[in-house]
Amino acid sequence: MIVLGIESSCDETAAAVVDNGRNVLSSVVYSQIELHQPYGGVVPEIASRSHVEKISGIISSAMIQAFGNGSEESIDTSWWNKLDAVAVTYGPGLASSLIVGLSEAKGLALRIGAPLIGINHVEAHIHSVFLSSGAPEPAEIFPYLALVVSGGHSCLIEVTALNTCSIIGQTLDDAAGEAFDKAAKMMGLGYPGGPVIDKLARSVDCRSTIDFPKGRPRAGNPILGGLDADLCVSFSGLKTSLMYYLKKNPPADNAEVAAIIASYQEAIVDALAQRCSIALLRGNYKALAVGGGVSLNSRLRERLTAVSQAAGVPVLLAEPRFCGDNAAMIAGLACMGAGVTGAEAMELDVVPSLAAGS
Amino acid sequence: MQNIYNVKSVEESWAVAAEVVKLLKPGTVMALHGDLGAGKTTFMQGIAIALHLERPVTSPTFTLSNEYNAAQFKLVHMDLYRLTSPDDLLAIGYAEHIENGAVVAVEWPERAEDLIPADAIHIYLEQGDEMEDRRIIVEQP
Repeated sequence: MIVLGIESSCDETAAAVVDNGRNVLSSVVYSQIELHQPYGGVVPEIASRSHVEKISGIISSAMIQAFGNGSEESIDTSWWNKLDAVAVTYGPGLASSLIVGLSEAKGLALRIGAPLIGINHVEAHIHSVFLSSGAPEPAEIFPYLALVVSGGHSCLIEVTALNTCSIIGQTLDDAAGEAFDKAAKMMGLGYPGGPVIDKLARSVDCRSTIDFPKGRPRAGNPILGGLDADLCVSFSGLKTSLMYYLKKNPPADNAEVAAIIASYQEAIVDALAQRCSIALLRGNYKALAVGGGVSLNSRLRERLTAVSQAAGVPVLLAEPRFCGDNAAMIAGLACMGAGVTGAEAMELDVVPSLAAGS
Repeated sequence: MQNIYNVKSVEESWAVAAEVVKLLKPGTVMALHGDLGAGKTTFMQGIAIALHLERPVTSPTFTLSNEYNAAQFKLVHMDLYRLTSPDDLLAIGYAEHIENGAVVAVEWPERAEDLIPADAIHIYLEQGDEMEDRRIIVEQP
């Protein structure tokens, strides 16, 4: 089954062609980071306009890379017949960004007579680990635990079967990537915060010299709802505590900035790793799958690898090019039979707060 | 009317939020003023708890708008931090939510001052010297 995937949930315009859910024939991503950098975060209006400008060109590039012989500059119309479906993200994300991809996908599906498949973006991040050639088949590792960490999401998801998953833990306030971005903003390190914080933290010898809050919610906190405090994280207090620390101890030089940010990163990474560890030791999981932009963080990769080793299960990390938002994960998951299909798909509207497993 | 509360813990912030919930009725706009780290998240958690929502109130920074169905009314939590014009607030359904009787909590309301109705409840959150200390000012017409 060959599927064209389209993704536009936030600030990346992406298209990809994937065969049989695993074999990525092409994956093209246009990142708008430079457009949003002056504002210190994604500006919805700018994101949406840029998606509109770029999307058809990105789809053409993905088609040419997948089916061309290297010399073509435009699409051979016969290539459209090779597609068995068009898959697209319909949530979660920014409404004004999602709508661009969804409208484009609906129009394309109608035009070429291919079925449309609506995909959940967070569930697709989990599938990104299966796009590596060495990864097992999803069916071999059910049930498994998945951690999705990005600028907009931080959740622990239990995947029990194809298309069957549920959130067992999550952030109670800010996402991990948001916590990195906000800290970078407070310390004048630019946007996005993740990569620069990772680099600075690697430059210091001691990982944690400042005792920041642990990012773990208290048991009995009413906002947990039905969730277990041991599987949830909370980064809002950590961010506030960094702010107070900076107020009382303004860093005198770059070395102090690095030491502070390394401790802050360690608190976030430790909270996430510790939550995964508890879940792995309690549940009968066969693997830990990790996706999302924050999973690029080198310290998090190190800690999660250690945590899974201790629990005796393999850790499946997405290739760096599939960690951030991309369309290969959308097309790949659609190949597996996931998502909203049939007539229902053509009726789909965007769902900005779509949860995994819903 | 203006009430000033000096609070020294998360629980005390939640208690103030519970008082504010008594003032809410369908269509109320609640403008939340306060810098990064002023305690907006904690305050919104208190609102959710007092409305018996008992579920995580995640940051609306990414999706711009989160909706919660309380027994009395729908609670909509909006973040205007990165909106470029007041029109953007209308584009994410602000006016419809008010018209449909939701209570709309707006973070960074100064970015769309003209769209905040005269009968809105204004909450000003200010940091104290210690991390847990906050001053919360509740203003209603």
